[in-house]
Amino acid sequence: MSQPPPTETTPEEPPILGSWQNMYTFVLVAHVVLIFLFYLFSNAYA
Amino acid sequence: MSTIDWIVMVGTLTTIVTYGVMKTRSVDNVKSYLLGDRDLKWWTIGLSVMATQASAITFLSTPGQAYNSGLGFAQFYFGLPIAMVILCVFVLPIYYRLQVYTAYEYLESRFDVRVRTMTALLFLIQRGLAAGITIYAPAIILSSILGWSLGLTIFLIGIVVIFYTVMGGTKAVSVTQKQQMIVILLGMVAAGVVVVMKLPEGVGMGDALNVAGKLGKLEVIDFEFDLNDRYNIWSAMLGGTFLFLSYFGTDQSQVQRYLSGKSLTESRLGLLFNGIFKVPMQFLVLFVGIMVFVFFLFVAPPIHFNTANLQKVEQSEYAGELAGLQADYDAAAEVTSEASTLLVEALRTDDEAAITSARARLEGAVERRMEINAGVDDLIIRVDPEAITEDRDYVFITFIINYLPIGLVGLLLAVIFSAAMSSTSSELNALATTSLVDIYRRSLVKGRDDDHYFKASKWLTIMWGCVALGFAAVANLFDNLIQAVNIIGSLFYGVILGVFVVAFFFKKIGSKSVLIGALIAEAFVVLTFIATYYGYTDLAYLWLNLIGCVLTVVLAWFFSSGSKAVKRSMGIEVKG
Repeated sequence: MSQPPPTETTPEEPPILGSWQNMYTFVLVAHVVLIFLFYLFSNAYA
Repeated sequence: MSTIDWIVMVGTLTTIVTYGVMKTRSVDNVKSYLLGDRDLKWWTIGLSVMATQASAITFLSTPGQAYNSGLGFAQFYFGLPIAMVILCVFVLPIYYRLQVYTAYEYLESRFDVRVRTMTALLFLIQRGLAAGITIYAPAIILSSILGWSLGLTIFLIGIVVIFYTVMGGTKAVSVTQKQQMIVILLGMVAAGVVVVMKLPEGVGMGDALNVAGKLGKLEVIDFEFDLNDRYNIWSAMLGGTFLFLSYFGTDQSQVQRYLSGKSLTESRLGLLFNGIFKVPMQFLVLFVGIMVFVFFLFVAPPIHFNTANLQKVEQSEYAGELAGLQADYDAAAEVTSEASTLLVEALRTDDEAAITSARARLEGAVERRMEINAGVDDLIIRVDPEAITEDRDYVFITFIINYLPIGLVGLLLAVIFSAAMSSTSSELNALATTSLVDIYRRSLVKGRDDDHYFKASKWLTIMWGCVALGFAAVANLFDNLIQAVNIIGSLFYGVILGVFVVAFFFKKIGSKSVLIGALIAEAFVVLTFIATYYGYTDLAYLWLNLIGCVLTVVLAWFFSSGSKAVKRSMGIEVKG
């Protein structure tokens, strides 16, 4: 099979939050908050 | 099952399959068949990625897991959002720049055809095995509730999936998965609402949570570092992250989903969507299992959830002993129900002494039920020494069939079928793509026209469908389905990820070093698993991902520059 030549991907901005770095930070912070909520949930009913 | 349930189930499934086939009538070339014209938006990619991972096993086994062991299994997914971000940063831009059909194609441009072929073969072995289990899981439901033979049920499910996957290729997979995921989410929310409504009068969700909490079922996070413990936050964040990096970054059944995206941005957004919503979705599924557990504190559950096992005992010389155990169980169930009510009342008064006393009584009653369950397991083994007594995969389906209202039973069965079809179709599509692009077209039959490869793609899909059906026929050898899939994955994913880590981050390491390193690492992982299986070591399977990956990287480095450095330090002349 002949592999197509590499194409340059033009840098694209995400539709919200301005930059991809902000998007990634948002996902990771949301995850930390979720784990913390799980922790509070477990403690509340322990 | 009522006529209305049949109409809901068959109607839902037929609509989805017909929609998928109608939307993909224009697919008539290899690129369109394998990459779906690269026109998918992020929400389709996100739902498709979630649907690929969420097999019927997820919806059968996970509530049963919560029923037995609580919410701790949620930790298994904690590494997933981290993996999504890492893939978006490092991996997706490379795949898009090279415009690859498969993840393994990239390895040839980085190393050589041998590394590409070896990694593709590792994927084909593990995914071919897992596809069988993905079909088997819903088959056990239908066969048990309709009284069909398991073989016939497996065959019927497989044929439907093979049909629309062969017809429309990757686009049919993605567009049906969007509909399937919507049905799945609606169905699980409905099941959660109904189970709470089915609790005895005067017992609300708050009471149910309090009771489950007092019985230790709501502990989501385990901070204790224990290599033997399958699910704690450390194994999840380390082993789990490696597993998901490998699964989403190198498993073609997932890579193919986001390579069908309209642009790099759409693919990134699809993966981040998965990173945000996957953990809450799994929590929801586990939570439904907890509510089913509380429901069965107030209402007597079956003495054993797998009716096929019970029937064997009823038809044997041990039927009398079973009847005796059933009488004891009915009495224990009554005590459990009373003790649960007492605990609810005590929790409302905030009287610590009353709570402690009621809790001890309930724990004693639950323990008594479990002792009787163990007695039934013993009878089952005496009747059939080969029988599998683990019945947690039957817990949720028993609740669905016996306690959900008419109409919702059909919807929930459609959920389980949708989940099975969505993940199986992705797997067949990916297996066919990898076989065609990385093996058949690359090494076996080169230089033929597009029509030849288009037809070959369809035949390969049919072939892998048949292989999956074959493995489905022997899947009853595994005692817990969801763990079986994850264990099979963990045997191969670490090494595959290791090869990709070397490719992405160690530019000076060549193909020969990574090839030898990967083969040795794979042998070590398999031997470690065998040693654990036979009790020589004690290691939770998630760690195999980390071991496989790290060992591949270290060995590849050693056989490349490391060995030269060692030889130099020993005064041995090194060429090159």
